[in-house]
Amino acid sequence: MSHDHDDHDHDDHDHRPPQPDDPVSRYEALEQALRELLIEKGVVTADGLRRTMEVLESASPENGARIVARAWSDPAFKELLLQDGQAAVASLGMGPTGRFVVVENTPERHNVIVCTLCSCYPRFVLGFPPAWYKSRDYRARVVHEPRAVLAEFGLKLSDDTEVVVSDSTAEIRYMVLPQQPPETKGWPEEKLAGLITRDCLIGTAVARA
Amino acid sequence: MVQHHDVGGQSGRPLDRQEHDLSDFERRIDALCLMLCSPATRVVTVEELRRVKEQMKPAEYDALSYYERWTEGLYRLLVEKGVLSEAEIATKLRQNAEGDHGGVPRR
Amino acid sequence: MAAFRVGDRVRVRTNDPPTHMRTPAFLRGKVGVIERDQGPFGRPEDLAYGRAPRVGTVYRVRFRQREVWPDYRGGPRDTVAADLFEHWLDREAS
Repeated sequence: MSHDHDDHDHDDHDHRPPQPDDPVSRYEALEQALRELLIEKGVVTADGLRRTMEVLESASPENGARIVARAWSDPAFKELLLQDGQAAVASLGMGPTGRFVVVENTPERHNVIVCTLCSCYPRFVLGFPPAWYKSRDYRARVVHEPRAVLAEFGLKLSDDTEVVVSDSTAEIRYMVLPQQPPETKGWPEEKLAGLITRDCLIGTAVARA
Repeated sequence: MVQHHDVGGQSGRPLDRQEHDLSDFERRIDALCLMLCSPATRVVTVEELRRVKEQMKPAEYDALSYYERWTEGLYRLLVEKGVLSEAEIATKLRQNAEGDHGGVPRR
Repeated sequence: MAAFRVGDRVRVRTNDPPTHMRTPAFLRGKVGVIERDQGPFGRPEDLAYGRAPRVGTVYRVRFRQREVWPDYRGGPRDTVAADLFEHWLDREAS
């Protein structure tokens, strides 16, 4: 295994925001050409594409926060969420999500999500992944040195905690159910949802009151 | 042999955690790929799209940004499957570059 | 029918076909425990070439980090899990 395969300094491409005066790149032009031809041939419709973009845009970490706030407040919902994530999410009027598994953080266990082979992410719930989630550095390192990666996010876990890394290698998408801060028991769901960030749902942060 | 995209366990640098919003181009190619894989359209599969990106030479793979790879991969796959031909794509690219859209609105 | 049950020990096959697959290199040859039956899915190796896929069960398999990485530096209880297709798994004596 090429353990010291470290000749990539190209991830910067994934982070470079396009500049206003950038010329239309070959790939922007190519996307336009493919899209126009596919519409002309009736393979896709402009309307269908617009609706697909709307579906993608409508997902966001706020969905995940709502799911978690409900799970913290309603034990029956939490049980359903852990057993059948897609059914639980559908019961809140979200989705369809595809196969969706929620993994629970406990005082003994901390979960973190990755996709080492590409960049699978629960996008139908949480929206587009952050750039770092798609980066080679995160994907390469978090399965081998999760504690070092989590420390970069300011998260230091005791050696007694079991760190569980879930690698999304098939068509199952994962989300973390963070632990509820004890002092927030009994808070209304909207207030609880405000504590839950995107990174809590990936597992690179914990919820704090 | 470990394939180029299969990076789990390799060494890496500290994460660059800068956030950026997707450009219109990135949102459009994402939606186009998603729609082509959707049960209603089913022109390609997710695994085919992954496969064409994985078949890129490592230097080429690394030289492209994330969504540039999606675009190049989709292009190759549509040609491979005969959904579009290289010639018609080249013609469309030329027409668009010349500002002649053949009567079809750009967006 | 599902070939394995929750709790079974399995070893990931070490095949290395020059094709598209969803079994990461770092887990090949490693022994883990079946944690969850994720249900039936089409094989990526077929879908990647537009063929009608053979269908098999996908399992969430959990591995001890210290077995995956001899140089692992985290806690002794740390684990890594992945969703693997049954045709990539062999039963391992417990």
